[in-house]
Amino acid sequence: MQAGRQSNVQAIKFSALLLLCLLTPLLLVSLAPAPAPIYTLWDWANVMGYMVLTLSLLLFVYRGRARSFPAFSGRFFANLHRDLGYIAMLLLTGHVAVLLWVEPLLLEHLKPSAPLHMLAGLFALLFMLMLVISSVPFLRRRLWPDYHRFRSVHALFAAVILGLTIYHVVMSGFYMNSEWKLAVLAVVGCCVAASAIRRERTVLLSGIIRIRNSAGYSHMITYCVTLLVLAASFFALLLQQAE
Amino acid sequence: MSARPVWLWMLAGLIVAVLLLVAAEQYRMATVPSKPLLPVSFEHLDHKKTQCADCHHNFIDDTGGGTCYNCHKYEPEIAPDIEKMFHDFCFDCHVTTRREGEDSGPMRECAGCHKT
Repeated sequence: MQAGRQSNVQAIKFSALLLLCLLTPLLLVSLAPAPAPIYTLWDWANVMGYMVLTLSLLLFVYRGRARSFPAFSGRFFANLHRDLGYIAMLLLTGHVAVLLWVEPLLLEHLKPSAPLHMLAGLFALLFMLMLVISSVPFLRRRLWPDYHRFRSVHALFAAVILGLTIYHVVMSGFYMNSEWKLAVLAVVGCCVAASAIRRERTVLLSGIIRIRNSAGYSHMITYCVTLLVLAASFFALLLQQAE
Repeated sequence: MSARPVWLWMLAGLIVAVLLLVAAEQYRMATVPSKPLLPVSFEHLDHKKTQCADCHHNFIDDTGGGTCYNCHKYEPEIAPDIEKMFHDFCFDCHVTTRREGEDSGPMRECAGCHKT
């Protein structure tokens, strides 16, 4: 009974943290100088793009190994990394698919003559496809029987994706349209890099023990929070358009 | 033999990303000048409030003659930036106009200008 309550409390706290992580960048880029709204689906597709950037950064923080928060079992963190990766892939596909659907001329931005920041986005998509597909356990064991080799290549691909994604977002300039927004991104990027370099803090606070059999919380938290952010941003954009 | 730390692989990844962009830019600079441009619909009547020289800068700064494309499409030094330059140029003006609460031209919707 006590364990169940503790699980729920940890799940709620972590959901709130994830929600905050996903919403904050969206709120920041909408601040002054506010980007001019286009139409709902276009802006919503770019919401997906920003969520991919946030998730790409979060994936460097939650790298599959147990951390001090939340106090779930080690398996939860492995699931969390995988779920966040799949969601990032889905959102990136959605970002491209929705934009091409509302604006078919954007196909021009997938050609070799496209502006460099769009090519960076395209490369990031291709690298993420390779990263996600090669990380499916069935394929991973065949491609890299040695786990350490897999981890090295995975880290290399992930850094390529993050670098290309940041270049794509910054140079597009639609939402990253002021120096203070760029400064915030730089600070967050440095914090994530520092977190990725140092060893994870796995020690729990005194009096807290890891909750066993809590791996399943990952799916529920990540997918629910993502859907919530997508739905909330869509309705917010609809309201903005109505004004 | 101990495995290399993960951060070294991440650093290598960032270097790969930079090299990839440099290679793409080289290829792009070679291909863009020969690439046909999308047709653009530009109505002078819709831009009556704008000073001519805001766009036709060569009238006053003596940097060239003829149509925009004479330089922006066919000069090898500036041709690769034609898309970004024209997009930024139109976009900045339209954003400013919209922020002032006035009707502006297309902001980012491609088909607003490129009527194919």
